[in-house]
Amino acid sequence: MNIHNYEKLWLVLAMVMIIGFISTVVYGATAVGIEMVNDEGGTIDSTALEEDDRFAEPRVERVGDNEYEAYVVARQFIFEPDPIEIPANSTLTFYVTSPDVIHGFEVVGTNANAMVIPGEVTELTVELNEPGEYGILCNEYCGGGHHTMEGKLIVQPEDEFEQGGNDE
Amino acid sequence: MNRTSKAGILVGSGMLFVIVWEIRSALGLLVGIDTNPQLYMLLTLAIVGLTAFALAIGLIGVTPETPADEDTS
Amino acid sequence: MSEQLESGAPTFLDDYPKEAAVVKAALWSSFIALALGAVFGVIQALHRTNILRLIDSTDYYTVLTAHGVLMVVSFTIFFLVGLFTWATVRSFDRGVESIRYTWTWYGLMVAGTLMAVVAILGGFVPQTDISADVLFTFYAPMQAHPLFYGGLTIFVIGTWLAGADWFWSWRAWKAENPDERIPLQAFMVLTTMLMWYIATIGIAIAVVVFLLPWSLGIFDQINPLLTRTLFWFWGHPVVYFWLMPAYLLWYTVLPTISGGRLFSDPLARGVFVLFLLLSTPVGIHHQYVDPGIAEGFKVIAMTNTMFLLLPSLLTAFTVVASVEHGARQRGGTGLFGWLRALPWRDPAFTGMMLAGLMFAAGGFSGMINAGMNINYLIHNTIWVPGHFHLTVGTAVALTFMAATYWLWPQLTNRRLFSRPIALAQVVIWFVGMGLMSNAMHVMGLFGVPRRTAEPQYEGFEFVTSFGSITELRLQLAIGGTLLFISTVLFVSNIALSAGAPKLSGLGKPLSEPLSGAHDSPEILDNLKLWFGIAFVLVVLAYSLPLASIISRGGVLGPGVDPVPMIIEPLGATLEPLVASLQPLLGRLAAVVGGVGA
Repeated sequence: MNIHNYEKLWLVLAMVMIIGFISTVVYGATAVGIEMVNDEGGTIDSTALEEDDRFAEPRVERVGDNEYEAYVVARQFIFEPDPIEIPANSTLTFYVTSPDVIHGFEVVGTNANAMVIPGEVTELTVELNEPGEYGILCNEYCGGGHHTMEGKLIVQPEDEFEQGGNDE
Repeated sequence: MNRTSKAGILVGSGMLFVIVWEIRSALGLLVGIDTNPQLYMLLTLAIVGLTAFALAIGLIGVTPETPADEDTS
Repeated sequence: MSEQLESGAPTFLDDYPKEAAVVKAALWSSFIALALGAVFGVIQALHRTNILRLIDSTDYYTVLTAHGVLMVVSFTIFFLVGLFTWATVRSFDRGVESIRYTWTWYGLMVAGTLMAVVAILGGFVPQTDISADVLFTFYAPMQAHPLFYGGLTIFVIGTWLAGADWFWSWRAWKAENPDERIPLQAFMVLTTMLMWYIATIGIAIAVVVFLLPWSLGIFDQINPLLTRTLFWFWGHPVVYFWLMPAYLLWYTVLPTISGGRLFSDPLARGVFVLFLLLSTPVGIHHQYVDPGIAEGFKVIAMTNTMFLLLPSLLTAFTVVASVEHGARQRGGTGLFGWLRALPWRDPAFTGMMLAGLMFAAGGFSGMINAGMNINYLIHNTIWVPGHFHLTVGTAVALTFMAATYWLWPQLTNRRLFSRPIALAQVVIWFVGMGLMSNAMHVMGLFGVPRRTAEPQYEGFEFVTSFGSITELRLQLAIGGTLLFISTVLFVSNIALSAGAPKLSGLGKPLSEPLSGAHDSPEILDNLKLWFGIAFVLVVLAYSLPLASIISRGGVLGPGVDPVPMIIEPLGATLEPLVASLQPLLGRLAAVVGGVGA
């Protein structure tokens, strides 16, 4: 089989490019530390969320210095709790699940973006440094009211954030 | 006859329009230059229109047509 | 001028009239789906941009389901079976083994499509309980009417039988020509179908084992992650199923109509083998941000996906090289000057070239999608439809339309109604897609979601880094409208061609490759070997993720109830009104739905 020289050159360049792409993704995953949503959130009985101590009452909990966890239920066609409030300069881990169909969980304008699948718990950690307000929307079609499914994430200045006194 | 064929002008204008217009998005996203949309659209249409006109009257596009160019097989 | 159009050669219709009838029927089915899909498409483009809202936002999802299914299942696959029948018969130079068998699989595909379409359009008729507002991806636990799943099943069985038809031709041909290489077009058809047989395992299990019995109430729970993963097992290779007919045309028809010959037959075979091997073990890249799948599986899918770029990059080289060869044969000179010598007046040529150009752009946005961690930014935003309207929506669709301009006269012995309109049509498609897809990509980067009737929210607004959302919406709507106009021009041009006078000698023989089949190693034609390797790769890529999903959630998944996607009846107050005004409609609904209205 004779391969033209230009063809060989092109083949080599294509391989270099492909390996380059893979390297940048691996670099992002290791050096930058962008973790993928994975299987560590565990499973859940989606017909009995009210019996689950995390999701019976969707809420934000303080779990350490500047560390928070949000237990979020995405259901047709709301997010609970709404709004999610958090102080600036904190690390927030979302645990999101659904009692009905597949939903999306997207914090608009950021790269916090994941699927929510009934029976599974989506775990996603984000750093919130600057105060501000973000929209949350469902980006997976979930039924006739899909376009109304939205929520809010409010990052408050640290000195204004009220602890609420329920993290004892 | 140095004129480009009508077909060539049509196809070229389509491509030129898409390329020039999409540069606006590249400027906005990559360089952060926010151009005025109406003005940019007018400018794009002007560039495409003038180029098409210049090709039509033979001002640019100097290579004579090859006989093959007439072949529409 | 016009006499140059005629080569004097006999056409496909002259040589194989019975097969030409099947090809024409398949292409017409494809174009009807395209026309309907385009109507639904323009309704959406105007609705979600809030420029013109003809329908209720709840019905948007019925429209979206119909658009998706008609375009990417009916339009593309009907075209594929028509084209592949033509390519197989042409390249083996023998008719199908049994024309009755051929019509049978075509009939099954039509029946399946009609069932699915009835189920989807039932969503507009609240008096029935028929509905399938589940979109093209039909993720459980959203549930469609059994008719929808049944229709899909019959359609896919039709495609399996179609593939068997072409393998049958191959066996018969091989018995008579034991020492010959498989002709290039037939090789492409057969490798594509092998890929399809592997890919459809996923959807067959998802639909036949889980979704169809579940929709019939045989069991009432399902593991949504499992059916979703099985969907994407098929959902990625299906994009190559759409694309391979376009590649077949770029490799075997485009060089001829540009006046030259294919650069390399061996490379073309190698590319199709690579697609057979790599198309399927990548589906998890659609699930980068899914819970319940370990990061390692996602990395494997990412790596495979990146290597899947290779055959497309090689294609870019070969196609451009072949076209340049054609241009130089036509007297083109210079580093770029040869571009001028190409037959830009020919809508078939120009359409395919514009499609290829947009495919390059679509390829680059696809590389972003494939980049696992960058994917967070654009996952399920309107960037994604922006991407696939460049690939399936232009590289594939525009190539199909352009090829039709070339092929149709050879199937009908009639010239095209209007070549200038055809040329304008492909340029309008290119410009329309340039606008629409550009707007979609940009909006996606700002977080605007896909598949949403009214992406306008009460609590927040999208922040743009330049321009405004209003302007991007307008751009999307203008682009969508141009695409609709382009489709109308295409379909009416083909329909009006039926009125052109019958001519003889419209056949257009294809040129032979510069480097022919004898140059390529024999091993490339060993289909059993490649099928075996492809199968093993799929087993390696999928057995562990599927085992893990099943061990986590169970085969039928605990605690997930079905959520039927039925639009709620208009309300008790309206029911007497409906009953008194529309007894006829009610009876019709009862007949269609098998339920009392």
